[in-house]
Amino acid sequence: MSERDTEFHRRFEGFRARGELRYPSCPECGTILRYAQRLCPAHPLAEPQFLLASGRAKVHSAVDYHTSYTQDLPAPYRLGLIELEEGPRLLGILLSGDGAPIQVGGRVRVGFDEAGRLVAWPAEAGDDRAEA
Amino acid sequence: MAAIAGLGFSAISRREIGTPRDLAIDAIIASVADCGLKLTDLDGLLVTCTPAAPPNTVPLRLSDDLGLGDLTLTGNIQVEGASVVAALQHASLCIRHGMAKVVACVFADAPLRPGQERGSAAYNRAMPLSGLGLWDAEHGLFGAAGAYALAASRYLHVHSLPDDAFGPYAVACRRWAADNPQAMLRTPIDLADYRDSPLVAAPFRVLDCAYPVNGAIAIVVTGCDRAAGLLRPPVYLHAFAQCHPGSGNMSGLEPELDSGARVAAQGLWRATGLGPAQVEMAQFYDPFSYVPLLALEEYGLCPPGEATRFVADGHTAPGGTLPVNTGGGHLSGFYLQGMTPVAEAVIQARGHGGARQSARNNVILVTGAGGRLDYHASMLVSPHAEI
Repeated sequence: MSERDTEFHRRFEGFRARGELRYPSCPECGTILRYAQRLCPAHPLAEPQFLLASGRAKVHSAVDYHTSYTQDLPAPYRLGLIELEEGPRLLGILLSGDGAPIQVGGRVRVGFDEAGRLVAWPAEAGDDRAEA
Repeated sequence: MAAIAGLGFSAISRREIGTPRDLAIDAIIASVADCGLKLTDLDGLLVTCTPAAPPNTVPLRLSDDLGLGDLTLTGNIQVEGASVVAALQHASLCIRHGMAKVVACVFADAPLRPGQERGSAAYNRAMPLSGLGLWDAEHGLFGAAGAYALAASRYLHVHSLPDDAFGPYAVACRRWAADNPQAMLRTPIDLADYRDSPLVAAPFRVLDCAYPVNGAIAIVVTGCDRAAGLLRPPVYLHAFAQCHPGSGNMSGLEPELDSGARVAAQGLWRATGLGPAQVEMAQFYDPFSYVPLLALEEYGLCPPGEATRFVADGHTAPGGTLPVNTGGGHLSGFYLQGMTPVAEAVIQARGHGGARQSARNNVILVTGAGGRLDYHASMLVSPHAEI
């Protein structure tokens, strides 16, 4: 890891430890960055700032695991690439609301579970700011 | 322009048959013998291996192992699944510019060990997708199948396709494999077999996934004039292109539908003056069934969203209008990453495909893809110097 990478993770994880999901953006031009980015190419010397995510999101894609790889996550489990309403996407665990799996394109709310993992559950009716 | 003169295989097996270094040596010896050259004719050596392997799994020291000296070109080309096509491009350019005359390009892998014979065990590393270090592993995204399944689910969703839409591709590959003595899975299957195969990382079933093996393949590249005087018919390397889009995890981007292949295709057409209509055969990098379907669309070989129907209608199967992965590909042939499609292209271009040989071999598209569609390389090859 580069020093820039280490610092990016340190700051992101610090917010995560407080239960805050944040996303990176450029402090100079406000461009929202992908989580894989470590800088804004237009302002490469500006350290990214982390903004608080609203928690509203939608499911970009999903996978159902039928093989267990860790004891912490016995199969079957469902993961999704979750698109925050602010733009960036990152992986999360899809929880079933009423038992039906959350579908691709579905609106969700996101937060952290006790293990600090991002989980998503179906958005309640009327919470329509994150459009599928 | 340069040409492929030699093709060599090590043993290929699901059993433990040697280290990647040993297998690479076997393949290079075979590739040189294949075209009637000697090891001492080599003045270039490019090595490639899976990014999952420890450093120096296929080392530059292969040159010492083989007793080579005074190489004017060597290197380890690492573009993940695009490495082999990228290595051939590098060799071709260096030959064209007089930096080397005869270059061996080798790929070797030995992921299967006793107790670790299944693909899910051999390739169970977490695949970085979110760009947040260990984040994806902490959330359970293990194995390439999971990362690619995410992409496949997006493809199915956008095109409103059923979960079993990939089945005809797996069936078509098995039909090709039935006539390939080197293919690992040759027993015919139908759609019912596909639907009955176990789910691994849905929407992928076992039959959607590559079949890993231990083995190595080497290619000898040289100038066209020299290749024409050797034992095997030359396979001419007409054009190369690459595009590496990297992570596209941001609203408005659809990397699952628009990988680097679309840009690479334009590079191939610009370089040759050809277009999709002139491509007679494709050898795609197909670690999972969805990947070649996307490639069909991105190279303009069928309309967007129509690949599953195109395959289901039989176009890519034996006797079809566009033979695809005529050795069975990664799914039914064997998974030696970028070398699987390259080797089959050489066999078909030479007319050495035996029962599976297709007459539609005049312009062959070959691809390599790495990461989770983060890296892409492709080439057009032909048995003819002029196309």
